[in-house]
Amino acid sequence: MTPLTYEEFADVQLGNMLRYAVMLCGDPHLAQDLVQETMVRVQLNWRKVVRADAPERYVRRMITNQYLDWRRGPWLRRVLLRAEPDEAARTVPVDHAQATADRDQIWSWLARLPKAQRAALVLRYYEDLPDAEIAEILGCAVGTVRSSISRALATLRAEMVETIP
Amino acid sequence: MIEEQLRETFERHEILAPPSAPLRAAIDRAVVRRRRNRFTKGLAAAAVAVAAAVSLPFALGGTAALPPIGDTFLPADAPAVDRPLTVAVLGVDDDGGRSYRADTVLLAHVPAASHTAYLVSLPADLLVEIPGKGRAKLGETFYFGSQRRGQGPDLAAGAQLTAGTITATTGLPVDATVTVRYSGLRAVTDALGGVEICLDRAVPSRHSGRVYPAGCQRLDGRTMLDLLRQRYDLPHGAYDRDANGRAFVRGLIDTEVRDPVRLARVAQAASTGIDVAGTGISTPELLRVATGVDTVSPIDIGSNFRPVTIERVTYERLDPARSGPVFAAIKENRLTDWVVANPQSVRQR
Repeated sequence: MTPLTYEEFADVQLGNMLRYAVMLCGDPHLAQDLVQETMVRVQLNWRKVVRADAPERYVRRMITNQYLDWRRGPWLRRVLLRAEPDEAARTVPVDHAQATADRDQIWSWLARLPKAQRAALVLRYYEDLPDAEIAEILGCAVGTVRSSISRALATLRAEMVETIP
Repeated sequence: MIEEQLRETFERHEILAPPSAPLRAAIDRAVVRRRRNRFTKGLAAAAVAVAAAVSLPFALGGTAALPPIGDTFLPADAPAVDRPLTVAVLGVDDDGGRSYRADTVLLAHVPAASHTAYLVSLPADLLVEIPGKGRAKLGETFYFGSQRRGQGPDLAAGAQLTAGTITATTGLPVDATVTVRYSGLRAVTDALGGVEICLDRAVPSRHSGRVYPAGCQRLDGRTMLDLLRQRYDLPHGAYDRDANGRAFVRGLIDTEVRDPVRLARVAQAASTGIDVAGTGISTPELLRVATGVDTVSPIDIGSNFRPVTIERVTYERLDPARSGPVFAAIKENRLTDWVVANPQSVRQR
């Protein structure tokens, strides 16, 4: 059996990774940066990635870590990321996104959650992964996953009670 | 119920995902850019890889010029070469510049279309027949070849005779030789800001009195050289010294050079202390392999640890049961498969 190539992987998974990143960041531009940065590293280190048991999960974990670390990275890298906008980034329709976001209360509340909690919610309610797998991706214990999710849900419920009389 | 709303919210926002085709192109462009940067870094690694394992681009022409960053003279992603390559790396101790013998004889073999260089060391005290000269130690071959009456030693001739002797002994063709003077090795190590070496066992130094503990440590040129010279207080003497040499090569390959100033210094150091000669390969070919290598795996061919003494000179012999299959696999270009089938012979990190 020939090993999976980067091209085959990207054909199948790039769209999934983009959608996953959008759920994490809540913003198409950030999501695009996140996926681009990660996939560049994936391609450069492809032989290492493909040796993982499940390359798809490995890459998802890379994206998640990148997202969780984002603000912690060196300022220089953030500046550089902004300094070289790709043409692709400019063609994304922003106004449409904005309109949707305004309309959607839950979506805007999600933005206020701590990142790890949001990631846990996305993995369970968007990706439909079992808690054990979520724990693996987030690099924490299963118990931690459950408590982050329940805390996040509690926050969202509280918001909802406040806004909806 | 909040769970259901969450699911719906996520699904509704899928449309926010940017199209993947332009992103894919952007990723590929970024990869090319970064590979190019890595390539210049790779040149340093190659400088060294070569120094140590594969070949040294800048030394080839005797020039230390680095290609300007972003304007490389090779395709950005150097493809793995499509033919197997065997390079003999000869570590020579330059005894005040008067005579040279090879303390370290390392074969670096890169199988066709592979990114891994496999290192096999041959004992310097190995009993060999020099074509046309008779019985000798492998390390002495370099001396016999380089010695010139009334003038300085001819390193290229020493390397050539050693390469011929290796082929006569192992049956392996040698495509190129890399002659590393100890002084060059020291300069390269210092230019890199030290190299991390991982030792299996502690190494006491007879020369400095220092003990290098087992495990990983970062050493500068002077201490590294001291470490690599030690053989007498080790359980298997020169055999263990060769193992340290292979550990050093791995350390070199893993050393990353990001700073361009430092890179230039490494190139400079490498170009003055390391000589490269190709016998069956062109310079661009060698370069391509050198920059394509990103992994180094030492292969242990052992030794029978039963030296023979002939006319009061003691020689090492190989253990044919262990070295034979490796040499055969290299010759038939199936080393990659052989390594998969014999993982115990290869040290993986």
